[in-house]
Amino acid sequence: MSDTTPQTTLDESADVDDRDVSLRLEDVTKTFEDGGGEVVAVDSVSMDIRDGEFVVLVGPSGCGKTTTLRMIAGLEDPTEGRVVIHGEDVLGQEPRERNVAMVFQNYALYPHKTVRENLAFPLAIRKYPKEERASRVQEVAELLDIAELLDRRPGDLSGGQQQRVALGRAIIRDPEVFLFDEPLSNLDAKLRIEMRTELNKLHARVGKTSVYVTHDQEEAMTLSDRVAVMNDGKLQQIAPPQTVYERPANLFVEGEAVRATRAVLQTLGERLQAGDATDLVFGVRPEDVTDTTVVDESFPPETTFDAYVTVVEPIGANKDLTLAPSESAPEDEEFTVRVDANSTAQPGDTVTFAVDMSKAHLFDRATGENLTL
Amino acid sequence: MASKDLGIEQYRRRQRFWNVVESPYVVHLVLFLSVFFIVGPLAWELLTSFKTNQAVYNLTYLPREPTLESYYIALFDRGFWRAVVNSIIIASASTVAVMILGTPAGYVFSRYRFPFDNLVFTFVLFTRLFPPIGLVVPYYRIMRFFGILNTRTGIVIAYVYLWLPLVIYIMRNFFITIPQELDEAARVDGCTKIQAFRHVVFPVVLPGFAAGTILTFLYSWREFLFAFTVSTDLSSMTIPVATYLFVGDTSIQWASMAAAAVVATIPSALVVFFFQRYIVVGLTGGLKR
Amino acid sequence: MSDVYRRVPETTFGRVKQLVSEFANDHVRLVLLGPALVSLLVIFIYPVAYLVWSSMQRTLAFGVGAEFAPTANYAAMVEDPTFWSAVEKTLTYSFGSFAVSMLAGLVIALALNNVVRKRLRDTYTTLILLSWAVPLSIVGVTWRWMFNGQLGVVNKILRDVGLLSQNFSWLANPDTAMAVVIMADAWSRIPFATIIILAGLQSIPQEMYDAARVDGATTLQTFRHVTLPYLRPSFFVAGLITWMFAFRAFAIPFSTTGGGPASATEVLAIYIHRFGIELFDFGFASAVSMFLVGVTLIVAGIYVNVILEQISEIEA
Repeated sequence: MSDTTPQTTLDESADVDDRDVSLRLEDVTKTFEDGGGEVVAVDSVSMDIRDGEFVVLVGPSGCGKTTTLRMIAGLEDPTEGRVVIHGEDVLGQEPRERNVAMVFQNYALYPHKTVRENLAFPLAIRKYPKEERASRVQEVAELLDIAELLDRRPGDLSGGQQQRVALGRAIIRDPEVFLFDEPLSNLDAKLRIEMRTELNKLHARVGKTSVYVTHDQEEAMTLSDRVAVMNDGKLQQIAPPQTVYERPANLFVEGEAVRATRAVLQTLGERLQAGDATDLVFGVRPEDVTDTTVVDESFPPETTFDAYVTVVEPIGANKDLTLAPSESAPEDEEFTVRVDANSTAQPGDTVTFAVDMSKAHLFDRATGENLTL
Repeated sequence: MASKDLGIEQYRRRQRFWNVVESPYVVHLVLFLSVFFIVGPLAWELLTSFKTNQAVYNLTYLPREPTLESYYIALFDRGFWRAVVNSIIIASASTVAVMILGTPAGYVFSRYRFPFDNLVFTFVLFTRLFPPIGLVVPYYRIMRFFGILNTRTGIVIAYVYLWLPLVIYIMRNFFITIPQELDEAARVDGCTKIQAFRHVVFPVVLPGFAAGTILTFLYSWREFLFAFTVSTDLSSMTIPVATYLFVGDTSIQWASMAAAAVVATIPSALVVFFFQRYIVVGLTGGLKR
Repeated sequence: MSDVYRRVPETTFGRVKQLVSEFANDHVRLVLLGPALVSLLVIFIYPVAYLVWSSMQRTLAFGVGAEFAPTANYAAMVEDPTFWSAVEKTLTYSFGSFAVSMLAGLVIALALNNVVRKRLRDTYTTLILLSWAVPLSIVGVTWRWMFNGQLGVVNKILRDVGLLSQNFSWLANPDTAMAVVIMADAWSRIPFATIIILAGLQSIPQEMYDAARVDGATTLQTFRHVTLPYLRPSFFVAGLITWMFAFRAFAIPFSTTGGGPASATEVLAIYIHRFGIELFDFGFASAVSMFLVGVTLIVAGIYVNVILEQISEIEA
């Protein structure tokens, strides 16, 4: 691959034909003035998104994912780099010229308009003929099952209903690209899962290029064709969800689990890799650890470690155990593993655990890069 | 423990006292007295206005023979009906001008960054807080120079100076309460920035706009200093000024003055009665948040 | 289909319209803010510059002509005992009105906050707002009329209940005249103080009161440890505004007493008006105005700082 796609090593599906590309970001950078100093919100992000693909931008708050989305929408201008939609460089174009639609975190429904007027607004402002507006509103309302709400105002709707109207307002114009800014974050847990399923179905039907921002890992995994993990303004990895999960490109993508298990598992790392272990970080996910006492199986000794159990939290099919290297270890060396529910470990026990080495990774401490890929 | 019991005993005794203070009787007594203090002077003006200018000397509380004669004298003999018309024209015109200029300005301050924006906003606040009495002499002389002393235009110009900064500030506060997402949604949906303001944000801010409008109208209606400085001519003076002019007479026609006062107060009172909630929103919206 | 919004207008008018709207979109700040700022500059900065300039001009007899004398008016002002007497009266007046209206505002707001039924509370609020909406000169003439020595209703009531044996000329006595003017001013300011303080009271979360009750606080303790701390910002703002606007008050004292008796109630604003408008001594009046502006700017500076602090809180 040429050097115009520097993410090649991270991008498992980089064999994208130019003609299929619906949305392309090229070295997009955004800096903000912050009282004299400059803050880099988005740092040279590049990605190609295929026609009809559903890409989820995920990362902690402040990682630049929302800013990236807003630059695609045209609500923010990149400091450097290009945004290309369907082969056209849209830099400097107003949002209304870009043929994108966006669903906002708080829905941003127009409170003074009825649902019908909300849905029709993108058409009305573009002076679509009346009959077409009416027929499209009807179509979309039926698609989203909100036909009976058309004459109400947003204030009278539940969160889930507002969400549907916001979706409807986005699809009614049949835009090139859909943008979603954490659209489910204001719904309660049950509704969120329902809407997630619904979004999946909708995407299957409408099949438009979509970019979706969330901080929820689960949402990222279930919705996406590809996940783009961002941290500190940089794109860490963009790959199908399973790949991101199984073969994280670096320490950050591996995430939580690593930080917690580092201290106690450092010795395992040393055994695994003969090199200078202080330069390495050993990472394993909580669920790839087994409580050896309840499994009728023998483990190679170099994959096991002993730890002191401080807290046991049953969570249905599993138990989360908070472990410490020893009884007197300081609190910041504690970490959590997820074992089978039949584990009999009690707080105060010292138990032998085994690590699934096929799922463990070694990372360079300095760069965070995954060395075992 | 004994000491603990004592504490509770003391608590109960004190609380009993405060329960009385907070009881509905005391609360309503306080409010009743307050309302009497507020409304009393107005009621007295109203009662006086139904007497004749001679009957005032009888020193009765109620008018013995209620009559509208004093109103007739004030409005027609003196021709102060024209001052009422002037007041309506001036208050309406300045309200329209101030709202048209101030609403978009408040919107910009609530949404956009631009060079020296904080400085400009501070300038607006200072304009609002600048003592108008300091500008009376310059205004008087500038208006004399431009020949707009004793004209309604002159008063309207002064009122734009007086209320525009206030309206910019209040409207900015109202716009801040409207999420920026709404403008952005409108722009993605196909609006220009101006259309987003016109079709989406403005309709949503309408209650605040109404509060600003009502407040500006009332402020213009009750203003005296500039109205008095610019015009004491029947063709352009306002009704508060006209009412004050009774004071200059060698023998004050108290009943007719009361009638003029009532006429000048009625529009204010009506606005308060119908739009009380907007006024409260406007007064507090202009200060906090 | 997706090109509907990129149509090129067919008529010349349509094209001009599009150009205008493109311009407005690209220069949205200029278009929306420009007119207001330009107006303010013209109708505010110009007179202010005029004020500064004319405070440095010595006015010749009858306001006809002037000569440049940068400090003459200020020197005359500082040496003039009537100026300092006006300052003293202004302080008495503004602090008097401040004290009365803030105290009454606090009491009324506390009472209003204890009215449970919304309809009733709204009715009270409406009635109390009335005195705020009354035109300022009407406030003055009304109080002038009530406290008239010969025909005033106050004297009549006091005589009828036996507190006075003969009429008292309230507005002819310097001390009582000042008291009446202060009451008239406070009368018109109480509603504002009440509304702001009430808004402060209503911003206190009910949880705080519940917590205090569970902790065993008496009403007085609750007031001290919950109500007052929460109330401080709005009380501060209401107080500052009330005082600042009373400090510059013109209409009410002018129409109540006209500054009299003698000059017992001649506050700075009336003083300025007398010299500037009635005696045509523009230079001297401008110098006194500058003094008033200076004091106001200091107080306003405090206020603006508080406001800007609140703004940075909003932005944070």
